[in-house]
Amino acid sequence: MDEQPKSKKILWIAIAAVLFALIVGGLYFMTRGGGNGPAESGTALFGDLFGGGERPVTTEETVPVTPTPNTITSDENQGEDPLFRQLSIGPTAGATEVMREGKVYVRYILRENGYVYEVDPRTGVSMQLTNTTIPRIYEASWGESGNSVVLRYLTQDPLSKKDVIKTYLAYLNLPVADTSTTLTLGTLVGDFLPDNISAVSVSPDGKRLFYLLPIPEGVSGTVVTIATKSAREIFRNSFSEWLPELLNDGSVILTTKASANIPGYSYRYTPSDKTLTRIVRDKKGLTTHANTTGSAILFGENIGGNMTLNFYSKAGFAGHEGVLSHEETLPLTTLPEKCAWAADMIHVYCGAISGTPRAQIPDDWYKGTLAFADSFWSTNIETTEIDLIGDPQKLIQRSFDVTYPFMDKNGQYFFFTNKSDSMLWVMQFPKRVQSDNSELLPPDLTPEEMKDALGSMPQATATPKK
Amino acid sequence: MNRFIRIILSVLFIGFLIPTNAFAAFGLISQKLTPPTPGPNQEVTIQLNSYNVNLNAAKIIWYIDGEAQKEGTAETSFVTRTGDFGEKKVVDVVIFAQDGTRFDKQIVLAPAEVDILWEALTYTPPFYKGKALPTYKSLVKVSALARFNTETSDPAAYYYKWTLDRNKGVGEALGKNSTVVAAAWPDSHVNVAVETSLPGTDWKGAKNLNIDSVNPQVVFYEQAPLLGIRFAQALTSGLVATGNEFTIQAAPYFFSLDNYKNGELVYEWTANRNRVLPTLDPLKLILTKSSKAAENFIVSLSVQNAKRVIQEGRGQTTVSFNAEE
Repeated sequence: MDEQPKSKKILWIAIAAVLFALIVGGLYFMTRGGGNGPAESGTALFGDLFGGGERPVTTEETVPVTPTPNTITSDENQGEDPLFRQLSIGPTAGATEVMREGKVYVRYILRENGYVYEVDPRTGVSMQLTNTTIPRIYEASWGESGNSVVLRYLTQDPLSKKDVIKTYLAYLNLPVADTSTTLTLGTLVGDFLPDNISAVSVSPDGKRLFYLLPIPEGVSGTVVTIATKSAREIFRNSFSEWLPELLNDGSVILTTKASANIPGYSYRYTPSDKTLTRIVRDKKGLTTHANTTGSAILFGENIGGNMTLNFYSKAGFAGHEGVLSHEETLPLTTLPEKCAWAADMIHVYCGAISGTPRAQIPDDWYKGTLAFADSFWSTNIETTEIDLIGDPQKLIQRSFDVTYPFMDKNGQYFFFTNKSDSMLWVMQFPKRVQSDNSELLPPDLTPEEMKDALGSMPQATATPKK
Repeated sequence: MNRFIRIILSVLFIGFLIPTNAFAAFGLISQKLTPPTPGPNQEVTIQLNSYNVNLNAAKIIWYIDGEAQKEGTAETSFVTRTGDFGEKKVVDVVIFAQDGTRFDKQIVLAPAEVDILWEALTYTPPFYKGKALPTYKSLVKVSALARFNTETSDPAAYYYKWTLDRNKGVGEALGKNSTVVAAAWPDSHVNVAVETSLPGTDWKGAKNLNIDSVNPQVVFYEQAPLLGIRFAQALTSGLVATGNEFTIQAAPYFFSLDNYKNGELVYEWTANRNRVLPTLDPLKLILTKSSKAAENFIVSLSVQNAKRVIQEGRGQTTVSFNAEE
């Protein structure tokens, strides 16, 4: 007799569970749907398995679209392009280039509240995109062409009072653009990765991220496909103090954390055969910055207290007496993390250190006990020639300590964060003015010969405006 | 039976009198490599020694991969270079003793790549990209990254032998690719060496390095209400604060991590030479302006490790508040 009520009860519980799952699933898709967010996937519902954490707060708000022009610009002569322009309206945690209709824009996230903005580098006008509040962000790495972002911030363990590093993989859920003057702001939705991740790197194509997590045996390395959130452990090592750089082909440049007087090592890790191939070894104060393919890697070495910039070529080049060499020194005093690769992977643009500071580099720079006043240079890694682009101290009476630099794909802009105040800036490259020297050349030159001959003559450069 | 024993003894006796190839293999002629385990592309000296064979009167021929390189009487040493990583070099030596007896030796140079990486188990603040440095008696985990020219790249397949300060064993076993040592006094070092080989092959490698110790450091940062701790800019040369309150966050660089986590560091804050009572978060100090007049605070923090007392550090900075109009 008891059997029937019991089975009914089970049936009711099952129906309730299915309804609950449907409601939760529906709500989830409603919050994730539309906009420029990533493609939904079967794994999305299980995103919370990534880890727990307090969710960011989003306030429902419809605001007038009022672009926020920057209050500070480097240009007093309106109508003329300044060499330097401040882009962010406040300290930022990270920025990335966004291409739209062939034009370059920059998305950045404010450190203080996690709001995402988009700024036009031609005008310096910022427009708010999201209003999900995530306070006190320390690092933001962008993926998926500016549609997702990995946020890193600190919380405190309530019992031990020790810091806990939270890592949140967020997707920009932006409303569909319309022509009205009011627009609902977008949100950031996402999932937490495990607590206390020691380092994160997003591949240059923005499709994947790699993170390192300390484990009792050493460290574990996991790659996550950002669109699908599928995660796979690809690396384990007894040594844990690595700084990773994920490349587009899935391999990872792993460089030991640096100190001025301690030899560092850099390896390329290939997940398919689990091999660590040594790239650079035994370099004091070693830090690295690879191009998108890893075919060339900038590396810094502290020699007698001076930072030297060098590069490693995977293919190598003929050195003395035909011996294949892989390393070359560039005549700039700077750290690789103050440099950005151009899209051609031949030119590198850097904020370079002026003078020879008496300090432990890079340690003191990382600690914030040492700041640089950089001048801006370009270098060609094939010829090792360098060109001074500008010295902001002379041009606009400002000093910049360049960090997190990147170039746009068209090679027009050099974006960077000024380390001392975390403000985002852009340096627009001065337009080259070809001086008409062609009349001095013989008339029967081929186009290539003409180009070579002109290249050897002095070129006038447009003078930047103060 | 007696006859059989006599034959055996006779053979042994004759054997002692007349060295043969077999006796060379027993070590009558030995070789010494300098360095003992050369790495790739490294110069190596091979020196032959014998107490039983007069090498100074012997004709010695050295071959590399079957080609004669050097020959002559008393040519007991030979200098060569190891190949690239993955290249095996076979050195054959043929020795003709004065009495015409021939001895053959073979030395295989199969260098492995070995790097020693170490990490001090000391405190650095979150997001710090620099290396944690060792301080007195802090633990240092040392790992070997070895690469052999073989199919396997699994560190568990290799044999490792660890040595501290050139004579103290700190573990050896198959797959033991890391060990933990204690750091030395500040401005001195410990030496850690590893020898590694792939059992059943000629491949082997070795490396050693010094690990220098430093003193801990105390660095101050601003804890901004909206931005959080401003790690990018330390409070080194003083700061003029805005508002009526300013929070200083201290970072005790390079104190032993276990003692930091267990709350075994002793903190002593002073403001204008007056001791400040500790708060719940010992790394934080909140300065509050007490009047409308300008105020200066000379702030210092001494940190000492109660468990490793030589680990101590001190920092000082100045925070000024402007007068209110």
